[in-house]
Amino acid sequence: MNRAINHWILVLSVFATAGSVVTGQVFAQTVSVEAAKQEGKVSVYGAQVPQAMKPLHAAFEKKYGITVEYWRGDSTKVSERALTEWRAGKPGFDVVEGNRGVQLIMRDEGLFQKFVPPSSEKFPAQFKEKDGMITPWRVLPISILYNTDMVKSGDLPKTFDDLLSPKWTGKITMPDPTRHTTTAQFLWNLNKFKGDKWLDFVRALAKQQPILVESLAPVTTTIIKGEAPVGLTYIKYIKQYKGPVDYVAMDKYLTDPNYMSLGAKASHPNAAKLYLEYICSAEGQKLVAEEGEFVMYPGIFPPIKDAEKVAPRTVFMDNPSEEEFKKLMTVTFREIFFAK
Amino acid sequence: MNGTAVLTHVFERPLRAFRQDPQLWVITVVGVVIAYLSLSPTIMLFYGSFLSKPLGVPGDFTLAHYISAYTDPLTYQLLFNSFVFATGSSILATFLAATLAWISIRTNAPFRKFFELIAIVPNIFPPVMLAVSWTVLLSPRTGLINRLLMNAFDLGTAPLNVYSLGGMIFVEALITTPLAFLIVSASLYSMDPALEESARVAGSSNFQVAWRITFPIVRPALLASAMLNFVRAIESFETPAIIALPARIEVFTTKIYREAIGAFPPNQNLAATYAVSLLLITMVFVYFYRRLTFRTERYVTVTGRGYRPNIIDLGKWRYAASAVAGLILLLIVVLPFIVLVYVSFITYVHVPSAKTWELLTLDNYRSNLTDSRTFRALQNSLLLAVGGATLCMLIASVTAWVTTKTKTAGRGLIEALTFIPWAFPGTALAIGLLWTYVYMPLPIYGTLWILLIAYITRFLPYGLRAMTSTVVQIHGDLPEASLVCGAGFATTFRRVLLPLLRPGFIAGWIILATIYLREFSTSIFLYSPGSEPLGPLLYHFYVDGNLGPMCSLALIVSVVCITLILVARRIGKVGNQFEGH
Repeated sequence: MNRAINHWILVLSVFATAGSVVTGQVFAQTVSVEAAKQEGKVSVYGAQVPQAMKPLHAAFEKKYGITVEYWRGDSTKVSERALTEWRAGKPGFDVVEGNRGVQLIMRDEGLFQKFVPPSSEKFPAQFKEKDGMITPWRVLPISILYNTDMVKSGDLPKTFDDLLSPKWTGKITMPDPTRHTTTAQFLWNLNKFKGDKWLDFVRALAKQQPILVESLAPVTTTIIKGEAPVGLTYIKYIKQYKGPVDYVAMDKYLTDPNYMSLGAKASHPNAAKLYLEYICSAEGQKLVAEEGEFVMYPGIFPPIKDAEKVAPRTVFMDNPSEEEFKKLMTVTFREIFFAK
Repeated sequence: MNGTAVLTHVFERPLRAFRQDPQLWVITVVGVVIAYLSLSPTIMLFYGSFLSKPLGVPGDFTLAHYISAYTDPLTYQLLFNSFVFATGSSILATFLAATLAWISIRTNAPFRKFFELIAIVPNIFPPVMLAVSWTVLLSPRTGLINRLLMNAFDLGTAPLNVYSLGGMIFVEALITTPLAFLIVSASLYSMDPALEESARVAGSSNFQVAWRITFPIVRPALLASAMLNFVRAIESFETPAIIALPARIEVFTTKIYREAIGAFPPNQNLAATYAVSLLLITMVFVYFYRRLTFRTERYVTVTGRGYRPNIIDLGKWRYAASAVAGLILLLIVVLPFIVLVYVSFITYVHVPSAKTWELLTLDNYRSNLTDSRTFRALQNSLLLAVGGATLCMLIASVTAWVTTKTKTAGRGLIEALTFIPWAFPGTALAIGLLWTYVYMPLPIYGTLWILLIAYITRFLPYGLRAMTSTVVQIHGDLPEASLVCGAGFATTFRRVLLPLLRPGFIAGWIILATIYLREFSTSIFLYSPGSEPLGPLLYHFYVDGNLGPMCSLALIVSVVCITLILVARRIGKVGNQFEGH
């Protein structure tokens, strides 16, 4: 009985939102809960660390009885796997999550189909995609994180330029920009603050002999362990990893929205749609925010100090083209960071 | 003559041969299976390295990847790094293993039997975990040993750095010492003590006997161990993944990983090119290794009797010998194990201090034991270990029988084909299989099957070695009697041979199952979300910075590994008792 009511409420709300959208915008599509349940599972490839997805997936599985098979890799690996499987005609994913850069590349190769989760209509207008192929669901502001046991507040670097001081030589950690797309994109986007001088900054940063790790997540544990007292990574990790770590408050934060997209040849299309809708709903967004994520739903914030002040100070990163990405990662940054 | 008649005529002779000799069927099937397993990834690896378009897209023949690889100065740097890494670690491992083996087998040092037992314990630890524990101990700023040394000697900077070529050599050597120990100790057990006795009678001291007699006799075994460890190190991805990637040291396997998975966009063609180079290098070394051990094995089978090497009395030096052996074991087993246990029970890694008590937790175990991903990985790995080891040992049994006990023409070819898996580095095999199964219409890519095929192919030589040594000892009369009495090959194999082969079968099965349960370097390239085994899961815990869950899972895996061994030995024993009745 209860389930039936829920079902109808969902369908009604879908039509209500769809009807309220101005013509020219993409219409939200319906989601059939019954069909989703029959499919029984959904396969998601995502860049979010598994421990932060756990409460969301547990709640989704409990509510609908649909198993979530979640595979995590950093955005680069997620897109690599998805693209390889797609080209081989064997896509194993129903939903792909990742940063904007790789999502656009995958979209252009035809990996996705159009789907606008009804709840995403409530998200701020500037995030909405005109073609409805990719759906934003969280933003990831980047700052300097530091080990609170090792760095006194007076010594804190307040800007990225402060990291170039000799006292931080060998004491910075960051992902390897020749292997990690978001980091390559982040460095490239420093031109928003530094103009043409951004590459000089990157060269100077490389001279500081940073400890290069696989992706943004292990930057945090490298800081917690004290291998490097400061590092460049997402603010949200101070909530997702336990230990003596905090973030540096800045004037502006370079930020990348992350997206979820529905696979064009998803083997569980209805379960995938329901999953996307659930993540965009207030309930889903709340569960995600509690894990430290800055989400899209208005009024929901992560339990991080001054989280509501971070949101208005975010600056969205631009996306290098696939060719630019390739040049940055396989030539420019290899020369800068791996020069012998 | 019409078409059908021609065909019948052409096939008549071979068909008749098959009818007359049913063994021929078995040999053909085994030959085809082994040829398929070893040739398909090899051919596809070469194909990928010469293809102009990425995986899954039709393209033309090109030399561009080879040109790009060999005009890149970095390639020569990584060639150099790989050789230094592999040579250094194999020499160090052989040295440690020889010292440990000599002390625990040939001297009267106290606790020697215990040392011998402990030396093989690392075979149950997941290999990535050993490298991770050494980063916890020797990382420059926070390594526990470094902190200890800095406090003790009031040093300003850390004296040791695991993130260096020296660090990699050290860690890889410790990881491969148990393997070297097995080879060297086997040769110490089987050596003829008569020469040593003559030397002693002639007035030589213990040290002189060890240096002038024992050492030259075991030299082939030492060389064999060094060579095998060289190959093992040059194809290893565990230590490089944990240490070389952060240290920015490029070796073959990190390069293959970087191109196949790490690069953006990935370049599986270039990965295949590097994999081909690596394959050629390991083939050369495995060829020489096989020639070397073939001779010594023949030597042993010709003159081998049950020697019992005499024990050397070290006098008061025996305590020093125990201390040396203890120190080696401290490095290869005890320290990594302590780190593993410590990290698995704390909230985050820190130098032990008063606050450690507050940070003690069971969360890492709780999260693993309640996590569906861990559960699925455990299930996948157990399935692969039990199913894969059984299948692999069946293939190995038949192959060993065919190559040692029959005089069929094709057996030489089968033996030659088993050389390829011997030499195939895990990373290269994975790239070859990726290229093979992406194109195959069967649902193998992205499932557990591709892992099963990879495991069987790569570790078939281990099964073969266990089976061949058992098969050699079986007299041909028993199976012949069965065949004469009218039983077919299948019945004879099942009712007569398998029971006789059981000890070798179980021994090989245990080796394979424990390897499969922990496999990493091949799996990391081939698994997919639903079919994730334990090795990649442990690595993902590591790269995501979840060291606590990683270490607790590593301990759980070790326990599962011991359980598997005990169950297998139990089954082996039950069978023996049954036979006794």
